Amino acid sequence: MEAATGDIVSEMADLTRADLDGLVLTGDPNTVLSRSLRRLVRDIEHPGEALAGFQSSI
Amino acid sequence: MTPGPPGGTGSTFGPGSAFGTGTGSRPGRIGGSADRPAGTHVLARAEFDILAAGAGGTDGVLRDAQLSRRVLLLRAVVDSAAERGTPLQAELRHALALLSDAQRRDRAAVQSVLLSPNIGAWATHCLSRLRRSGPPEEDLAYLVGLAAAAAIRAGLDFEVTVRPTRAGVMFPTLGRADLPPGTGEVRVRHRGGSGSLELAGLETIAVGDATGNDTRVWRPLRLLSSTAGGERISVLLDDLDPYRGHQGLPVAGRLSRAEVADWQARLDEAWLLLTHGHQARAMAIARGVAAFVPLRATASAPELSASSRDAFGAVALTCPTDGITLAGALVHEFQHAKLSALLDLVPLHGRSGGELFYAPWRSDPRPVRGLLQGAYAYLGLCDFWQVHRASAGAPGARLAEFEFARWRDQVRRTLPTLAASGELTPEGSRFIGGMERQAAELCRAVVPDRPAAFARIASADHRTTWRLRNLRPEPETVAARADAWLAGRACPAVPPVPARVITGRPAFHMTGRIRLARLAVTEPEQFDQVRHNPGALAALAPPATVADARYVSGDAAGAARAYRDELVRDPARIDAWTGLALACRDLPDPAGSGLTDGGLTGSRLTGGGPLDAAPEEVLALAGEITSRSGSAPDPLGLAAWLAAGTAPPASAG
Repeated sequence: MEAATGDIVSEMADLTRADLDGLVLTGDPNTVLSRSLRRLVRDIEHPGEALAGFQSSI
Repeated sequence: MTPGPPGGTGSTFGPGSAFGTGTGSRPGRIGGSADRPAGTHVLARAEFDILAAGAGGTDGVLRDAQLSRRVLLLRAVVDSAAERGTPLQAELRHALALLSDAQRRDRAAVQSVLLSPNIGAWATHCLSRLRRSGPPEEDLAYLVGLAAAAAIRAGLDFEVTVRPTRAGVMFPTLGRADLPPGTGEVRVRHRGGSGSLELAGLETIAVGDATGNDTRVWRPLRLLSSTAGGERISVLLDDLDPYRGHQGLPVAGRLSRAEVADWQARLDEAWLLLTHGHQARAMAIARGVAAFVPLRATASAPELSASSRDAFGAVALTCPTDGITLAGALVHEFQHAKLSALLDLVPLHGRSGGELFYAPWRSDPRPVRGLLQGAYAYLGLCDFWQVHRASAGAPGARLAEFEFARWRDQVRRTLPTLAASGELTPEGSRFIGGMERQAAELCRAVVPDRPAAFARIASADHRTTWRLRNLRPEPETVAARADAWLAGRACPAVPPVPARVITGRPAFHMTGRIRLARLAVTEPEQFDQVRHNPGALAALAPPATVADARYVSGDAAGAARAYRDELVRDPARIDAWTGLALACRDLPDPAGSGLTDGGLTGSRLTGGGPLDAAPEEVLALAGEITSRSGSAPDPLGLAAWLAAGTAPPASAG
């Protein structure tokens, strides 16, 4: 997707068309994919609070 | 978002969707040796602003980004497992190859499986374990069932070897094969033309069989569907997947047909409500919620709903008592899902600095990330109640007025805390700005006096109870004051020291007063019938007491006397301290209320005094005095002594 002025360009690699078997995660650490993977791993290692609970007040 | 029948015929991802069909095209490799460079997801500013206002859905880029996240997670799991030398390497390679074949046949079918909620939960769990403690073989074996489910949905002919786990063999989005104990590796064969699945030579089933009947081996996932106002929702009822309760939720086991019928009835009621006046939100929920995970009701959580950042698309909840409960829970949890998906794409806050804050919807202190999630969920709920109060007949309208009045004010008061936290990114500040504008708009609506008044009671009750539960005054100050009280001296002047916020377990404590306030609004005749009957009160609005009923009835002086009596008997009863603080605040003339010693005590408590301003200080001091002397001080006398800086009342000791 082309970013228009003011649009938010994320750091998440667009893998919606990726071939699961052909995807290569190793290699240049400066690729978008490497950065996405690092963020993913960081989130998993520091999950904060994955679960949001709601006790119905109704 | 719910996958349709296998074979691709019922896929919701048709031509022109965000995913496209992928038919006939071989996707390029992405990464170090990619045919094309990997781009990144881009969120349109207008879409961001719609989300900030509490509206919008998870279509488009938010769902695309979740798909990318799943692809990345899955590949990371396989690569990490290989690095760790798992003995399942061959099976994992075959599973990936099967997924790849299925992608080439029907990309949308594979995407529907990858986006099913538990794939995220499973992959996150696996990757976390792989990084901490090595290959979790039983967990990794799940990938084979995942690949098989995708291949079945893509209509492939295939044969694959699977290792049953304690939970059998799960085929996500389809069902589970429960094989006899001790069964080793088994072959699974699928014929795409007939849609038949042969399980270990034990049984051949038609995967697309819509009857949902269990067989000797096969447990199909049941699909709930409802249509109202020309709109349809379909949601899997997931009582099978081993990763559905990964966050320690008390998941229910296999539901009976009667229980499934109950869930279907609640969905029908909720869907009727949601499509009546909330069409945009209803359709966003229909596209974004893929599964309900039934939870067991427990004594501490008879009604609970929850969602997980890792299980995008799932709502875990106890069986709702009625349609409005389910509609509210869906609105609430879908807000969490939207925000979680947005946070995966755009950081709105940094790593928590450790500061904890008051959240009006929780009994425990919350970090910024939790406060933001709660505020966003309740902003969506306010919009729901705003519409519902105009369309529902009593008592639904009364409940809606009460909930709307309560939460719009609480959300509006919470947002400045977030804005001032110092933890927001620039995008986070913009997001909060959008929420503030929407909350201000909601606060311009007129609410009738009665529900507005009871909403204020509920809000004040919650805040005071929260202070009593979570704030701890400085111990040296408490000790110095106890010394003075017990010695018959005036309360010593000490420089103010902020109370410490203690961390606690997730909690949703609700006082009997709040339950009674809601009853008084929604069912005033019933409230009048039970308000003098302790047994009926405790049954209808546990743990309500007669003191609570007096307060909710507007008898502040009578309530204050009753709370004082309760506290002399049990000075640690936090709910009674809250009640006393609320009642004193409402006393028009404490000196003339018959509560006080010649007016001195009462005059010091006009507006609640220390009980209102710092109830945790009065509670801590009462506890210290009781501990040292063996008898509980008069709570009103103690509060007045704190306020006055004079000698204790003559009766003190």
